[in-house]
Amino acid sequence: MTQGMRWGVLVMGVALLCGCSGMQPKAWQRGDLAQPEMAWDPDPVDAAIRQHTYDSKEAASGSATVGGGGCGCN
Amino acid sequence: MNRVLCACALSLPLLAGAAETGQPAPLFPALEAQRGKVVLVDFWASWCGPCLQALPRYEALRQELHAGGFEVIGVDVDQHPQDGEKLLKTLRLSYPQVPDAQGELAERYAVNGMPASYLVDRKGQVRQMHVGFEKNDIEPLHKAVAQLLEEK
Repeated sequence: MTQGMRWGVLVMGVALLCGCSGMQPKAWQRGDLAQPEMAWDPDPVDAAIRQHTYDSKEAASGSATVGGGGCGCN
Repeated sequence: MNRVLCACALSLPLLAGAAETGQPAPLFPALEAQRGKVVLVDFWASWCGPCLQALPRYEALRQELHAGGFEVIGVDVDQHPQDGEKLLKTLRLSYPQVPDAQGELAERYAVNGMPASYLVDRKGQVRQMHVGFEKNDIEPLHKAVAQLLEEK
């Protein structure tokens, strides 16, 4: 790879990384994001119940708050 | 060269015309039509919960103080204008509404949250800016409007 090609790849890489940096919506452009189907949890109550069940079952291993080691020693 | 750059940098806010307390409010036809009145410019959208709480309260405030020279201008920033229009049919607000689906006015006022309201005095200067809405916000707003209405 020549010096010019390296520079070309570098510039293209930086341009691609910066491509989405200006995409943050303004305060008045959040209409579509505010739709219920855009929520992480479409049903917050159902999500809370599921999380509670998961926490109860997996509390010994830290539930969702600790990264698992997979040793199987709980 | 540095002086030129500094001058350019300092003039940017003027070119952008962003609303700032103590500065003239960026003009648009509906606001110009209310010249000499105390005006609350309210940026709202149908998808914004606090906006929906604010709209009927602003209507009540307007009903109470309109005779003294107070007006509200609603700026609907819904990107799908039919959503805002549908809501307005149910709310039946008496004050003027300006559609701003492209967000041009919101951009000029540099709105940074929803709802955003700008209280403009009789001389056309922004005297108060507020982002968000809670029920408790109405009382201080009422006082501020009453105070501005006394100014000639």
